[in-house]
Amino acid sequence: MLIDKNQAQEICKKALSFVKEGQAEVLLNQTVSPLTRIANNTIHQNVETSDSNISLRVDLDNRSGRATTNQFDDESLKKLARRALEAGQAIISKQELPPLMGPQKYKEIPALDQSSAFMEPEQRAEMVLKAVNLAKQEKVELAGLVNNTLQVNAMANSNGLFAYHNISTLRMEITARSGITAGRSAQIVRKASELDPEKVASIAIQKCLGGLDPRALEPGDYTVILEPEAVTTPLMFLSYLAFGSLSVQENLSCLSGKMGQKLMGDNITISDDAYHPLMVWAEPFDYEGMPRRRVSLIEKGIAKGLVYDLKTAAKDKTETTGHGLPQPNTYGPMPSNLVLEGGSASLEDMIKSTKRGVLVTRFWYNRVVDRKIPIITGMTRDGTFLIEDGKISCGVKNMRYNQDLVEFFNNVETLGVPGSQENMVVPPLKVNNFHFTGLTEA
Amino acid sequence: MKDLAQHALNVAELAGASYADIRIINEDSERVEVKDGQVGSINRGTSGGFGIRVIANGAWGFASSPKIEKAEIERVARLAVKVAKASALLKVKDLELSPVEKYIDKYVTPHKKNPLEVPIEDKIALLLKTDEIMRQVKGVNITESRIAAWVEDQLFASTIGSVIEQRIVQCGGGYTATAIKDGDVQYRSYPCSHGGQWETNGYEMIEALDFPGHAQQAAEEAVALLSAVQCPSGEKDIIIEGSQLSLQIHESVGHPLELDRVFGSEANYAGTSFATTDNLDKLKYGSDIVTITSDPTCPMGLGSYGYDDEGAKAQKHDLIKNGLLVNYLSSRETAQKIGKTSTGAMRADGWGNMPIVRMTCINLEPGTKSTEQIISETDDGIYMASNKSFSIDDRRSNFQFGTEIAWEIKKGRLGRMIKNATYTGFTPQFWNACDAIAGPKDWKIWGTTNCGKGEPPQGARTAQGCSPSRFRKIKVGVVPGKK
Repeated sequence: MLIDKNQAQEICKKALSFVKEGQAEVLLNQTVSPLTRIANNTIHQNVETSDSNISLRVDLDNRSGRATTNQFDDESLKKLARRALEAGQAIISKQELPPLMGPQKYKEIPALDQSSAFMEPEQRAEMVLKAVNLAKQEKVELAGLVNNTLQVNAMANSNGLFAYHNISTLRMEITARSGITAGRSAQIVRKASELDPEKVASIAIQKCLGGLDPRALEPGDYTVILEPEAVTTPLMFLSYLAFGSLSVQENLSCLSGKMGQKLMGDNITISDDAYHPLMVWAEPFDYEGMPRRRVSLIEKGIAKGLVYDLKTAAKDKTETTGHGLPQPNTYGPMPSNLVLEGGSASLEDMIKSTKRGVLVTRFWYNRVVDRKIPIITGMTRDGTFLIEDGKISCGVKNMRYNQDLVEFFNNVETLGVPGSQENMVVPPLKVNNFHFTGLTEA
Repeated sequence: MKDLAQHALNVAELAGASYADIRIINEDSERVEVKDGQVGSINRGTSGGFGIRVIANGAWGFASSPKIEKAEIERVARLAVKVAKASALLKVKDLELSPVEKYIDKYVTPHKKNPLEVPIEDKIALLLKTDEIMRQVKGVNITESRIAAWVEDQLFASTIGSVIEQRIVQCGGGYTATAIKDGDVQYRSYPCSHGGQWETNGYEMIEALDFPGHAQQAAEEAVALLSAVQCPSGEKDIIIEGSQLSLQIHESVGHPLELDRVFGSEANYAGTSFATTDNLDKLKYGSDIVTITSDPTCPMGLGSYGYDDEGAKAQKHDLIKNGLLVNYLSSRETAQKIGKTSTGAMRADGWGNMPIVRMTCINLEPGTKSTEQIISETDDGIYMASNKSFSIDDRRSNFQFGTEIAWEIKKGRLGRMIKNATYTGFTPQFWNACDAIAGPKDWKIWGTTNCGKGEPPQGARTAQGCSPSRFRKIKVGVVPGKK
């Protein structure tokens, strides 16, 4: 079932052997991701899915073609090599291509765990059953999922580079519903024993029940307390709009021309760190086979660094940070494992210190309104509450926000204890002057 | 291949399935990108495999594999039944499906030129020529263009005896010029944003778009936007151009009328719907001139096909008739719950996913006036074109859209160019504010390549047909976070 290191090496070697011209690189991916999905307290979708892909890049004197297949027999791999070669040969003008690197050394990152990699459908159903039994007691309905994922990523090239990593996770998400009110909780872990289905369900159910008969708040500027899942939204958007070196080189980033300047609050320190002990999903190399490095992006509010691939690093006369995507591409490198440093406050401390504010569980349908400033919009969802005089007083109807992200990271009053959010580590935040611009009916 | 499919169904029945279907699929694809005068990337893909869906003990099970071999098909058929039996541990009652006819048929989507047989060299040359024209316009900083195509061959077989072979040919493309100055970034795309125009069609659709012929205008408009006026704030009559209105239909009509999400299946992810079934035949969704259909038979629509992924024949259905909600996008399972038959909207992303209710071609039927006439009859408004941002709440009610470009309308004439145009509203109120829809001459079907739904996440290619339309007293110029 699992493609192990030796098998991956053999598959990559065979794929490369069919390339008779130029230099080549092969990316190998295997994903096995069974998922049990519930709605209305019953399983309505239950799937066992798996796929493996080989993607082959062939470089011919500054011209590059790529082909991909999920069929691994010899004939399919020969066809793959031919299609990639033809694609490269079709290019008349030259491309600026990053080189194919030689062998690299990688740091250890915790890998696959048997308990989350391999689960039976009956095991997932039992976890769901525990949650549903709680829901029935409280007369609410659950939607959600239990999903265990096993992933292998390997790569090799004609200069002798070979990299292999496998990883597995177990995820449970629960949305409890009563009428049009919903509450959510989620947990993602590496080991099955770390997941507590009843705790996940209980939190979602309590949020749902606590938000019944929501009040409508007038749009305006509010102090918000964002739970960690909500914090991932502004951080993720800032990362892909601002921290990639290509977006800075192209003058699309809010950091363009402002590196070294203080742009955010003193309490904001952001890094990209695949090796952080709380990181659940991380890999030690990028899609160019380069080792991922820890990168300090924002240090006490000052723009300190960017993520690079081989191509953008060459342009800025620096070294890659190991954040490249499959080459050649038009979008440049991207952060992979963001860490927002936290503080010591608990969520409860933040609520107690708030005279009037809004507690947000998560944001939904977030999109870019202004690329450069940058401004994003979206809605609250699945647990939005009014805080009055240091206590949660009631649920509120979901609200639309339009928010400048640099302004957001200047208005952070308190940072809580950080925790894992799959490929990010973030704390809850208390943020002032958050711009709600509209509301909805639920 | 048909023998393997039949064998899979037999194995599933022997393992305990009361119903089974299998889809065996091969999809070939190609994407060519050019950026700033260079070929950005070329990727040619092949993905093959099969998915088996069963009902056992009254519940669904699904399993898939990329290995189309007899032994693997047997393993996966038995696994699907095992999964269904696990699902049944929580069932409230046995699944019931609305009836579907048995079909033995072959269907190929209409096309003249297979886009994957057109030489890559031709595509590169077209994109480089277009790119060069854009880069000659002073003030343009980034130029990007692409052409992509998919050819999917599918065999569907089910235990009711259907055997359906389909070939679906799709392609499209487009380009964007980006202009940057003094902290302002403006885009202009052709024929529209989000990669361009996409159709179930042959390469002849790319040739008909005349990429080079519109490149200079796109580039010049991107630069002009840098010095355009900001969108005013307040209530305005707005006329929405086709590609933007297409996304409005997608988000505020297509998604809320997916019957699986109405019943809560997407409550943990894509969300639910304000258009619950107690509104059927009662909710005044739009004004009297608003009639919206689901039509997977619509020529060139990216959501068109011969049969859906549970063997229901493609048919045209009214969803909103003269403003009244009259039906949903449905599957055999969901349609049965409202006493109807499937509208043939069950679709899966490739071979590896279980079908779910998806959009097909969701079409706002044309009106009678010309776009020019609607503009001439607008005293004080804004004409908005080509989507830049889109967001809607999880019940598909509160939305906010932004467009690449807009023009003010004063006393029936287009005036100054407007940048950063946005509008916001609530779905039924918005569609009830529609008082003019342009006629068939201005009607066009637009493709969406990246509609996301489901867990595990599935993409879908859908289409929305429409002509420019006017909406009265809409809130525009949503005040952003930056004061």
